[in-house]
Amino acid sequence: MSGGNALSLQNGQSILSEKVSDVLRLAKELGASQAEATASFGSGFSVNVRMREVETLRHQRDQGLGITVWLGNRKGSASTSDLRIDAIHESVRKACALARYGAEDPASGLADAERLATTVPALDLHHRWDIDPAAAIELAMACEAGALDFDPRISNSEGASVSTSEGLRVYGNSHGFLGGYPESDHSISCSVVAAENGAMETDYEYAVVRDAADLPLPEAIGREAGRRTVARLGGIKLTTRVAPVLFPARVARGLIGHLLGAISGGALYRKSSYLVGALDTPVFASRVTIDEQPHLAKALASAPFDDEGVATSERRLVDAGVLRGYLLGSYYARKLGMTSTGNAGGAHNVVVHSTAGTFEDLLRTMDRGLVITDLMGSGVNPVTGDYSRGASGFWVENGQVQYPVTEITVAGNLKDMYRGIVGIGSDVDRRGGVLTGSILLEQMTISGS
Amino acid sequence: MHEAIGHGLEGDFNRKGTRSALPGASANEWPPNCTVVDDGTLVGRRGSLNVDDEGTPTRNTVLIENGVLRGYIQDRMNARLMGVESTGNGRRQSFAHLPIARANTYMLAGPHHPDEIIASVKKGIYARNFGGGQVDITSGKFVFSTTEAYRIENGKLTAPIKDATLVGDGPTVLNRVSMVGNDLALDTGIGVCGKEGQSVPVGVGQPTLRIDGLTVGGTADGSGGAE
Repeated sequence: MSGGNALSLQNGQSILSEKVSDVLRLAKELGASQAEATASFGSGFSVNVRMREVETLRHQRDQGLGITVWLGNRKGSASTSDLRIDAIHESVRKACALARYGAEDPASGLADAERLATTVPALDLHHRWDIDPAAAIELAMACEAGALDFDPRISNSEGASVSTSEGLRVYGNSHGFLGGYPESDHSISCSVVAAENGAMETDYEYAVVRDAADLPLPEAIGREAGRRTVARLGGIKLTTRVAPVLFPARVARGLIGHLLGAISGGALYRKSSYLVGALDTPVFASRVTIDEQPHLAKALASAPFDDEGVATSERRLVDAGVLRGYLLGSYYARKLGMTSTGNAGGAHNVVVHSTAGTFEDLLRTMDRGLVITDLMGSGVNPVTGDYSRGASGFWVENGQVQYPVTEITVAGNLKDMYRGIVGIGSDVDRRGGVLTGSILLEQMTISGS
Repeated sequence: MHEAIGHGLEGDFNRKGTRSALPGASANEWPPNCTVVDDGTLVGRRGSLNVDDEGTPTRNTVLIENGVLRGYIQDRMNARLMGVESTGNGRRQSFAHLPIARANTYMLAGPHHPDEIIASVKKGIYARNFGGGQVDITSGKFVFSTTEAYRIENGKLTAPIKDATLVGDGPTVLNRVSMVGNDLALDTGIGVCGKEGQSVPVGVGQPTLRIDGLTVGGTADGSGGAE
């Protein structure tokens, strides 16, 4: 509640902008040399049905204000979910009081004024989904039915979910920046269980989009969940071997995700990345080119500016295998003697260029090897690049899937894995911040029986 | 313990029937040397609470007694749906989350001195400390990363092993527990359990166990399995 005027997507931009401005004004009055504030508001609901009955209906609504002030190089932060004027003022006072106890840190402070976004490009990130819980339950039921009816071996269900949420975020700082924009996320997901000969397997399928008009049919999501789950039945353990490995697009996103951790400012500054000092050196096979494209319309990780108000822009991260950029916010950029790359808060749409055809084309190229459908555990060491994870998937001979495999591990080192990329498919998965097709690796060590 | 057994004995998975057939459907399927409890009442422990997040007092629940399945850990909703009492395991990350069943699982000590267990292994791995783990409740498959591990050769610890991943499935591994140590140790206070997007602090503990075979993944020569 904000002084009797309930927040909504319609009035939110102006109400939250006013509150951010108020914070900045008061911080200045209290002697802060710099200040910033982020106000946010979100609402939505989700339904979960299981075995054709409603399991959960959950409504969600949240709001918050995060405040940071600097007294010289000393920083203090406070946050509140109460957006009434008294609570906001109390929070600003608390942040100022805390800053007095902060440590001097010359790298600390707002982003450099000249890096801030001067316009907020419209990226088509908000589309309200006019759906009520009854209609959402119907969609979830249809989705789960698509899976349950897919095959008689589908024996049980974790359920199907439909969720919708929308919100907005306004950021302002004492350099005079004030900007905000609304966003939405809508998703449908389904997870079922298949049983055969006393063994059970589970898998899932999902869609997540900015605009509900772009959602696939719920039945199709359910059928895909059913197909994936049944395909896992009867998995066997491989004998230990070295073989080519194909990461389908859904799993390949995580493979590229390890790069993002290794080139982020914090990891580089703390020297806890295997890519310290790797800028302008080859870290991938020369066929690999990766861009950051923050302004893709409707994309899930698009953003007109970063968490510090720094303008985002399209750039090349990896050019023909050579690492050309890090992911830096202002703080670690200063620590490293560099400038912000507009990545306070993370990367915005990391796009891996395709070099090959469809998933089936990559299977034929691989000829004989492992397709990974699922990875488990946290066996990736960002300091050394050592990679060793539990896996399941399919064994491939003559370019054709032969049988499911399970309870194995795949191991290698990210350095060798990235340099050993043989091909990147055109089957791009757009359901996250990394947009890539399937990735074929020359070889990994597979441990089994 | 937490991945291989704890999650499998949570009421919600058992109510839905979406977890793999752990041993315990009948007696004698668990190794008779195994007793597993869930205890939220241990003084000063990371996962201990006076009452859970639904107001139910925590308790010491015997889950497996000398190899016989005695019960599950429960939150209120799943307990009611299964016609049993809550065991005080309904936990939530914060006010904005729904309570779900969460484990503080310990395996009780057995008769063997840990040195005796190491001495009994001709070729194997001594995994002293684990990093992250994960379980697929439905298939029972689990993985752990080792953060401190050594080779055992002819009953003696030899070379250290770096970043190995152990993979197995709960039912099979439990049936391969051949020796249980007398050195029950509780965690050092770093356990965080993630389930359905919620993280809560939990406790876990076990004695030294001898498991007669588990797949060990890595790139070094001779890493394909232990005996």
